[in-house]
Amino acid sequence: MTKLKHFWFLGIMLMLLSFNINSLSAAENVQDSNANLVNAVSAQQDGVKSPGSDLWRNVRQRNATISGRTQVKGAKSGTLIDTKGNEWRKVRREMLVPYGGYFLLGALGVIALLFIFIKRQRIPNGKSGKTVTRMSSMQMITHWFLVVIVGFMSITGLLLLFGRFVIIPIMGLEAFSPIASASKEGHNLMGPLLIISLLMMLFYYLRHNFPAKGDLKWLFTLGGIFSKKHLEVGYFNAGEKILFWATIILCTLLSISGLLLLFPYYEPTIERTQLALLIHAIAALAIIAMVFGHIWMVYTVEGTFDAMNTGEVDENWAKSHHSRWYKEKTNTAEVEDTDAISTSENDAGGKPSSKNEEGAYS
Amino acid sequence: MIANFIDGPLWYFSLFVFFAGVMLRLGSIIFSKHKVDLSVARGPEAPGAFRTIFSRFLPDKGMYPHIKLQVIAGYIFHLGLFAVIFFAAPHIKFFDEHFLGFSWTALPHWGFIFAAQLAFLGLILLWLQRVINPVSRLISKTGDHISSILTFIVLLTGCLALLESFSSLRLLHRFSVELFLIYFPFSSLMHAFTFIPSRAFTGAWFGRRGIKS
Repeated sequence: MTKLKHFWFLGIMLMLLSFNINSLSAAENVQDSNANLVNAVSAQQDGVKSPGSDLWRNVRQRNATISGRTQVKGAKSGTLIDTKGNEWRKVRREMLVPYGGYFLLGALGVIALLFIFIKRQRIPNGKSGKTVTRMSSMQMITHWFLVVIVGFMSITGLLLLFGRFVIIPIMGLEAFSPIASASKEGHNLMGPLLIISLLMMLFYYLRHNFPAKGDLKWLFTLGGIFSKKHLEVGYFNAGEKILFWATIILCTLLSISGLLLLFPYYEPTIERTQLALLIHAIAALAIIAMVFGHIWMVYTVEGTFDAMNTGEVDENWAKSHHSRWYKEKTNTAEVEDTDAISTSENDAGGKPSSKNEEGAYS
Repeated sequence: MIANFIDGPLWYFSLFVFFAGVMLRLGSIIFSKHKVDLSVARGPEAPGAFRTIFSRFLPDKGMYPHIKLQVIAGYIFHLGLFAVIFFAAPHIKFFDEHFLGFSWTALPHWGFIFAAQLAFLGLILLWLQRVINPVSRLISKTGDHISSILTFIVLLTGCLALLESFSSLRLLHRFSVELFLIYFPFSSLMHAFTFIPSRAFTGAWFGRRGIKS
């Protein structure tokens, strides 16, 4: 019996010893694994390749397109991370936004200088009091419809492009979130109406905008600035025709790129989507700058706005700026020689309403 | 504070003004005293009234070439607006929860967007026509312009809040709707209700005189 007790005692001692040995070996194992890890990392740093860590590094650093195989079917479904998005973000933030901003500010600056230094061109001999119908109601409606749509799209588009950098510092993040959301929804909703306005522009204005006799002369003399002779101009001058075609081209670019952005599932490659976005932004900035110039032109040539306000223009304005059209319209060849008129505006009958309106460029 | 006011007192006030105002206006038209027509009737009044309610949906053939834009843009706008008001999912949910207790099938999202675009297209063209056409400009009153602009603002704020993620945008839309409801009974917007009695009255008058209308 006492022998048996000794066996029990011996057994317990052996068990305790074995636990001790096990724990010691476990600690040694941990130390070994740590050492292995350190060795592996140092080996990795020494240039030994490990596919797993390479993959993770690439994913984390996002400096390469990570692709693999998957059972999921669809474009890009095998791509874990496409770094082109990050590259585009850089292009947008570091190029498009700053240079786009400089471009628009530059355009505004040029227009401001033109307002300051170029005097308003008055109607030769002043207003006659007689008017000629220049625009039909539908032509005016089409023009103003385009103005409304381009205006709305410009405001919402500029908020989307520059809002993060302009609105957030002024109004804060919480104010910008709903503004950005509203801009996006409004921009997407109104966008297709630009196509309608584009079609209306083509329908009501195209026939007046084909190249015609005298357009080259108008261009070479910059609308008569460098010419003492009166230029015979038809319904639109070459500058207006350029404006029209630029509008058509830019609006077409905006419409096509806008549709691609509205329906990205029809254009699954991110490169083309980004290209569409870039074209969309550049065309938009160009058309906004062009609108600035258009507003200045309308302001600086007295009587021009009447064409889009009432559809009627003063006879003297028509004789001076669109004499060929005026002849065709009135069927008279008795347009006065406006050489003298265009160069002696200070002798004009109508008195300038302000100092700014005195004198003119031709 | 402002949110509670827009969602609470102002909402109930605008509903009261709208319903009371519309009832008052309609009542004053229907129950107003008319001169008794002593002439001998050459035809029945009721068929003329009924026919005219529908016949006026089509423009007069002689007039149509001169009012193409008003007719086409008018239809585009009214159909678009009708679809937006009664078939937009958020509106149906709103009517269900606050007024009716039942719902109906909503337009899909793309359908709603398309309807809103039609409404915008028609409204902008109609307002431009009102401002630009010399005759329309002459006969338009300030109230007509306010009606157009208010309708545009209601549509716009609704579409800007399409994402339904921002309380501020929802409140903006609701506030514009409240202004619209308050203004509605006192403006030409009442034609939404008066066009039927107006046509019926004219049709009955023509019917009595044996004139086809």
